[in-house]
Amino acid sequence: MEKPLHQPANFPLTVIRPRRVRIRWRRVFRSPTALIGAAILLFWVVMALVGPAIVPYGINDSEAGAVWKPPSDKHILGTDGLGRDLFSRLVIGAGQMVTLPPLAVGLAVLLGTSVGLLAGYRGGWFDEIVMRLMDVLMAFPVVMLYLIIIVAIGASAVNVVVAVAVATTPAISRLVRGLVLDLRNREFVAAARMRGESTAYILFQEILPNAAGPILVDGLVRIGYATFSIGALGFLGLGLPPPNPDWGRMASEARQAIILTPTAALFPSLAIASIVVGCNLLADGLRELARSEE
Amino acid sequence: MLRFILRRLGTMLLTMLVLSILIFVISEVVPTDPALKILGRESTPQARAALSEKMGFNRPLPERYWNWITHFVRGDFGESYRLGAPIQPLVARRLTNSLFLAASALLIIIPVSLLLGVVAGLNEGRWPDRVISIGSLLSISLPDFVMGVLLITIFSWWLKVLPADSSLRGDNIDLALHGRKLILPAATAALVLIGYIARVTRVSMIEVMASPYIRTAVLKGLPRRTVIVRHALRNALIAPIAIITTQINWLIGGLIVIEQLFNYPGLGSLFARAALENDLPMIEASAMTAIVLIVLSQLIADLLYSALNPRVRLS
Repeated sequence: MEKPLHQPANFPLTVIRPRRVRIRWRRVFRSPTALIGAAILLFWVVMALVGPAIVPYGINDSEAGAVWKPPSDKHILGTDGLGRDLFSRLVIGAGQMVTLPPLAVGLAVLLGTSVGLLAGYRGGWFDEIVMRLMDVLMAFPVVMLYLIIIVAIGASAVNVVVAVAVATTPAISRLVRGLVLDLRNREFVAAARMRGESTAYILFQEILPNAAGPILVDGLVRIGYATFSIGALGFLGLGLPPPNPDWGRMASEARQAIILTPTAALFPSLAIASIVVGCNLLADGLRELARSEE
Repeated sequence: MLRFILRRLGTMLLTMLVLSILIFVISEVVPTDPALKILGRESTPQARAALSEKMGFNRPLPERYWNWITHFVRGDFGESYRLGAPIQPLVARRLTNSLFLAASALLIIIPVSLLLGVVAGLNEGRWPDRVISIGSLLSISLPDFVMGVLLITIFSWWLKVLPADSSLRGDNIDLALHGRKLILPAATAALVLIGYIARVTRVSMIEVMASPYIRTAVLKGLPRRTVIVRHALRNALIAPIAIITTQINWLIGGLIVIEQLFNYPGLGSLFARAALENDLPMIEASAMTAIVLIVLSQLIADLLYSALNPRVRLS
């Protein structure tokens, strides 16, 4: 049973929905911030795609005697502790860094949106219990949560994605619930309810499309965070097992030689940072565009 | 007030209960055979059976959970499988070190971020604001270990003024002896948060300065300095202080990567090592300790915050 709606008698049954806040990708070119962010991300995607064809060395080719070398003509970014070419490893490592974070966030958005939609729309005890649980989960320090999960299920690409997705879900569900609470009392939702639409129709055709903009922009920022989390897992030795060239692991292995050759730790760290910066810039730019369109 | 505290204590206990169950379930139920997890695949079935017997892995789950949590509450954290030593003294020592680090970071964060935010907010759109805003964006975007690697490169490799290694002999911190070793890890943690808090302060300052009561004060002919210091700051700093209290969680349980990067013997690096070595009792004890501390400090922070902001009703 739907609650009776207290609306004036001449309330029109067809209400024009507010214009959806849609990201118009062509307008991205008008925001320099978004453009720079997109360019950085595109750079790494291209690197990941063409990387295997352009790298001068294999990821496990080691050169005897060339240990922890700073950048030179032969190795443009220098070498690591086993005499392996840093540039080649960095480029090949880009593959997992442009695929795993979006997968993890995609999964988290799916889970978080489902929880947030249901909790926000149904309200009542369901909302109360689920959201309290999400609050409790958010009290758990994220890195600790990753580590506990990875210890339990083991380190592999799929498991890293699962761990990051699980830890990211509470925050997303909180955001979506907030958006739903704001949207569910709008006229177009009331109109749909009066037309006798099903709950599923209202959730997916009326509410979700109008919440999609903020969820996407938030997701973009979270892809940056996920990149950094996966880097941190690698750094702590619980990322993808070797011989995968994992940026975080590369940085942590180079830690012991940091006083000798800081570049070996610096380049993989900066590579991770550039993806985080790229995501943040693109998200900032998109937010500005959405605001200027209103 | 009393009712507020009692209710908060209730939620606090509930939070700790739920999280303790979560820790227990993830570390002992998800891997179907904890003994296999600890000993590895090369171990003999006899060794695994013996360990299961010793650690009680073959008991029913509720009994195992009850045993673990009641011992934990009494301060008996069990024995580390890897080190063969009681966990509790180790955790206590590492925790002290971590708290020193968190406190040093806070000592940098609070004045610097509030000052930067206020200066940016008062100069909205002008060059100080632009410089601070770009700096904040960098600080927000750089992951903690990237920030740490940058600081080590600058201060240890290039300028050679600060040590890159913060390990302490005997794991006991002594400020007179180890003060210099605390600087880089604390600065790293601080830099990660400063940008975010400065941003919040800036927005809050801009909002307050645009409010009618400030215009009244200005039109009344009060000097700008008085308006800012006596009237604006009180309100503008409430939001950023609330944000700082939400970051305690990270300062206590999240400095794992920074501690690991600097070889600092804190609770975080203890936890990271336990995770690498599958030392389940140690993982559970250190995670639970961090959570108890986080929940308690959150309560204290909330009380302080409500004392500071009379508009928050304690109900």
